[in-house]
Amino acid sequence: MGRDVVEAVAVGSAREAPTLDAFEALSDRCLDDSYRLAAVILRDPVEAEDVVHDAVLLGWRKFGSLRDPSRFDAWFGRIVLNLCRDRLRARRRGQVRETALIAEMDMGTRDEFGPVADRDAIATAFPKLDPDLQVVVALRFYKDLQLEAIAELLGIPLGTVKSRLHTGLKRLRAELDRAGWRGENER
Amino acid sequence: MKYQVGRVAAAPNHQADSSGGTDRMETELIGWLTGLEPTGAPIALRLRTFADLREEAARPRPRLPWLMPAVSSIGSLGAVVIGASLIMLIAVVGATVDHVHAVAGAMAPLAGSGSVPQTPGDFTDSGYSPDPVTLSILFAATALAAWGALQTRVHQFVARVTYGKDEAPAGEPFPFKRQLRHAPRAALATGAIGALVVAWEFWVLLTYQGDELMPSNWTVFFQWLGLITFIPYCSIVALRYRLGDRSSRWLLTATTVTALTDLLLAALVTVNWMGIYSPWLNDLTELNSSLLAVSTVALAAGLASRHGGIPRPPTWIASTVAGGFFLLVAAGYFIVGMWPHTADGWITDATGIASSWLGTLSWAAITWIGVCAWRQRNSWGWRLLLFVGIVALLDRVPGYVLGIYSSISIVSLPQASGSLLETIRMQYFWWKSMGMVLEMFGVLVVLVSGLRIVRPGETPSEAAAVEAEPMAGIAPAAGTAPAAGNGEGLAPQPEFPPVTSPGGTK
Repeated sequence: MGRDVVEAVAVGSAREAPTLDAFEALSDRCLDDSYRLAAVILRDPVEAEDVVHDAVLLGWRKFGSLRDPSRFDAWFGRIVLNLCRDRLRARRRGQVRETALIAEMDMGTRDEFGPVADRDAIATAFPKLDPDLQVVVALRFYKDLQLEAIAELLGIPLGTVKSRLHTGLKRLRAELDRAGWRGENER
Repeated sequence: MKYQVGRVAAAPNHQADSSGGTDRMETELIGWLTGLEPTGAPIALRLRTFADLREEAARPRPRLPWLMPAVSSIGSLGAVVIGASLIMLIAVVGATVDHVHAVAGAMAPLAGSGSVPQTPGDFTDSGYSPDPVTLSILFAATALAAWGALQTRVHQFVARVTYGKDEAPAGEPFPFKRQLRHAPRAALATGAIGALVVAWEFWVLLTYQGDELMPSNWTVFFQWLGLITFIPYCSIVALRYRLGDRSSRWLLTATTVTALTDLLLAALVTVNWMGIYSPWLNDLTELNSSLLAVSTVALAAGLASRHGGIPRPPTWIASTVAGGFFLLVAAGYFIVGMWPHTADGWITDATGIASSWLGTLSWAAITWIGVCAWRQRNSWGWRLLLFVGIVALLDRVPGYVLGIYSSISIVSLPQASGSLLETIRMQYFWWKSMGMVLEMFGVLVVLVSGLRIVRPGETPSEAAAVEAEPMAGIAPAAGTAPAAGNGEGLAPQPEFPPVTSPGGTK
């Protein structure tokens, strides 16, 4: 369906304003991935739903500015990431929601095969990173994207991605060391 | 790598290639992140999102979608300019205490005795001259103010002051910090022009060594005060009122044109002050007057549209007021000759008369809105419009009276009229400038107060209930769908779209 939709939008956009059906089809295709990514970055499925919802509406308002419909996925992904970053920043400004904490605790103990204490340490340390660092680390280690792909997705230079990734991991290690994480020696 | 499951396991982890191996922390990190992954988007999310999308698509598209970020950026830059200018003002006043005494001395006769100031050059004759150290302090203070205006904590403070402690918007009050790369070039150019004009005026003020400054120094002073008052209009309207309804668009048009008009006025007054004369300056002055009239008309239309419950005045009153103001303006223009109209022909005269008449008529309309607000017992912000309108009208009427009086005096008392007229003109300048500042501050306070839509046909008690609702301009709560409808004639809706910078693949 995806290629057909993109081609239809590409042909249609040259002649007339973008149609709602085309946008709905394109965004519907990205909905699952966007929701998963937002849930991982925000560590809160409820807030991830809100982000995806807002991203769809915002994307519709800005749809006219998308010149190349074949890049809809990247364009929509950037909207989602920017909204996630806004949420993380708002959260860091002291607006930590109880639901987020509950969901985080619930998710952190869901993996019954992993060392729960280590996961809890990471779950405690990771939110302390800057929102920009969190996004880059999540894209690198969850989405498994190349650094170049991350740079393109976020619209920032490659060097900035490298710097953020390096800084993020360094600070994460420091936080874990401070929390008495067992590290390599006890592996 | 037992924790790499699902999507992560499907693709190789490139981090291992670039960093020489995946250490345990990274492995745990991958496992933890993967553990956060939900299965898929819930059906309810899909239904809710696309239902709201259909509703959003059914709403009328904004006509000027680029205006909001542009004005927001202008407001941000304006905030920087204001902060820098205020600190520079404090520094200049502090460095020229004698100069302030001289100004106070020159002000006394204007206020009381009615005599002409004796030493017009007092404004800069204190011996003060800028030196590198002072200028360095000024520049450092400017940088400090700009830095302060861009800080998140300053944003939070402004938001708390403006919206209350528990109702601060989720978005940044000034998106300039995050949106600098995405700020429209028009906004950056306008802000830069504003900053340059203010800086230029300060430079001229600091380095001026001439003799003849009165009364134009007062004009410059009050005009500069007006500039720093008017610039935040755009940001206030953009932040305070949701642009989805017609009244907000009128208000935004009014404030944008007013801010641009004031920038133009600043440049004109400064050029005139420096003694540079050119024929095109008169044309620009006329253009400035016309733009100011347009902004006042838009302001009146926006206020009337926002109130929604303003009855039309009786026809005979409206006709009398409109005709009377027209005659007054025409008399002032042709008979008295208060405005420069002799060289540019009838088109310029007609434009000048029309703009003056429309401006005055608009202030009369704003006064009428204030009268209706008092009768309907609306909020104090609406009621304040009566005061602002009266001040604005009183600000204009003495000009006509003075012109008529001066023409009569010149005809009947040719010997004694010179000094007396000069005295009257000086007091007129003072009154005119003070009135302008008062009406500027008045409109500013009215807009900051948050004018709520009063539905037509409401009883006063219902209107009071609407006024008692939480302040408008609050960001939508997380996850709430955009308000349905276009907002016109409805109770106040959240007025902030979520602040974001989606960018886009161009």
